[in-house]
Amino acid sequence: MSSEIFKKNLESVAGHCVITTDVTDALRRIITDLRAQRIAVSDAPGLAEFGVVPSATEIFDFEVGITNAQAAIAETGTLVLDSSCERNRLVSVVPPVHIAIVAASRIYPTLADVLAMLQSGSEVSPAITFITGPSRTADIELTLTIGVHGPRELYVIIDEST
Amino acid sequence: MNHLSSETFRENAKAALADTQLRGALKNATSLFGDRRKEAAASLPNWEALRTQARAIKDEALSHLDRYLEEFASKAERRGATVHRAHDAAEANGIICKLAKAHHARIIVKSKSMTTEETHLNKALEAAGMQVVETDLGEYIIQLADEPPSHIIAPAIHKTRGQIAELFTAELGMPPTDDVVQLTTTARTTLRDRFATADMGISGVNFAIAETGTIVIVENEGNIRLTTSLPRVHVAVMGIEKVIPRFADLDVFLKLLPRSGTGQQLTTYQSFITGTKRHATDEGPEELHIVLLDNGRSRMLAHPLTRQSLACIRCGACLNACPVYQQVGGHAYGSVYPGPIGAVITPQLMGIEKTSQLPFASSLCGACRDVCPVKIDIPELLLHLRAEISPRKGSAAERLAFKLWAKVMTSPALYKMSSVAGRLLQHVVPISRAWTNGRDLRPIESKSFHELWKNE
Repeated sequence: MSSEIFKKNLESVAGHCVITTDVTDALRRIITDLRAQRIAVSDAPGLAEFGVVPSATEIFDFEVGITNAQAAIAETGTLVLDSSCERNRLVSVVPPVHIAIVAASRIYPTLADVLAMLQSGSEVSPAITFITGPSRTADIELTLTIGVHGPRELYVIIDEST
Repeated sequence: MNHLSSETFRENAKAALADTQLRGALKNATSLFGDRRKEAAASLPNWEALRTQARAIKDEALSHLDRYLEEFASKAERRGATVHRAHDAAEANGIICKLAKAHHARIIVKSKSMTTEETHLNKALEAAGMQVVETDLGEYIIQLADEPPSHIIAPAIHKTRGQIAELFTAELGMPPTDDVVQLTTTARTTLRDRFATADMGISGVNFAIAETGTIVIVENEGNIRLTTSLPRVHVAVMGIEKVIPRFADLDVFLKLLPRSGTGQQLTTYQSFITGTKRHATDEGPEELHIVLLDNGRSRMLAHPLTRQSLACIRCGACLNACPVYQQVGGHAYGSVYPGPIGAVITPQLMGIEKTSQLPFASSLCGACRDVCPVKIDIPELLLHLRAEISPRKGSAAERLAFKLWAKVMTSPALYKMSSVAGRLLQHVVPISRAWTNGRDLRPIESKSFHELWKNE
């Protein structure tokens, strides 16, 4: 249920969403469709087979970045990335395409729920990023343009296998 | 029309009114933002309750600002940040220039910050020999054009795509085009280079959380994420009024700010930064410096009426709703903060002498108060500022006119005479031409209410 609400809200801000029980298959399909060659991944377990973990100087040379998301907000279609869990800060913002994987069980109904969750540990993580759709601007004549400094495309794979 | 002064608001406004291209752009922008805000507000059933709650949180923070600032600073420092306190703009710029020098910074990337516009930080850094690059697309455009922002959240709305194309062709060597996607891509490519080589990143702050020492910055483009992730040093500049008590308070403000600003449910990105990274090998800057700027804010805080000016979350909704801003745009105000909220805070920040026309740049219609997400009573503040100004500024003729008017209105005999005189003289004496130039004046009825009453 939360997955469907998340999907609807993400799609309303031009993001793509796949709900699946086979994450590897979904990832392969997206990469094949994109015809992507140079793929950066965070250091999360399970992603190494899809690409390389880049250094800060190499990061500008990739077409796709793949990370996990540690949580999501259904009511806004928002991903929550916690940098204390994996090296996701640059991989999720520099390449023109970002693919994120989130467990269905980590989708919270509301913003308030996620704020409470983020504060529940011993201390708030040093860097947390909320992501709702691809990067956008309307700074030139108010014309909506997708993909400015961040990704032009955002794919979210919701993992319903657990 | 660069760098106008608040002292010449009337002239600035007159020039803006004659600029049909500007007025077209303003009409599009303010009506679009206004409509989107209305829709977004209507999508939340408890909008009014949220506004009340937001204002209560701001009032709470402002009435104990010393305590909350102290708590914020100590929490942020415990997590590895360095907190600096700046009494005024010069001191803030001095602190940041010193940091830049200490880190041998040559290229500095900046994300949008109204507070650093207020302190004219770029000029100070450039004078110290650094290259400063604005990375928000709108800010980048106006930096290339050497103009100040004309709207709080859309700094380049006064420029057409044609003008931007000319600018990019001249400054960046872009082949001529007026395709918006091409223009955006050109900016992206040019700025990537700067991000990759920058030694320091400077950002603003939307909310600072006392409870956790966290700073929160919201955006759509992704340049704030790059500014705060890539360079070795991150400097965040904030007015002291940005502090809110609790992490959970963000629920209210993250609902109100994007909806009021652009009509979005949530902007594309929110960065929550709490101190520095835990391990040297982690991603992100090695150092975080937070500059707390006063620059006249304590003065506003001291007075129970003007204190509410500090509740502003810089959403820009009052600009879009204001019939004066809609016609003259941001540059006419001659200050970093335009529109109704600008007319309120500019005189308080810069002193009333050079800004005395701004509180009069309003019809007091109250549209700004109605859209304000934190319920700032802007008309009341404008009246308060006018009252401070008028004893010094009102003309002798105006004072005499009001004295006469009061006399006539409080004497039945004089009042009766005046209505007869008005009827007789209305076609002989020209009433103020400024009024009758654009519209007709309704003729005075041949019989007054008193006369009709008597004859009945």
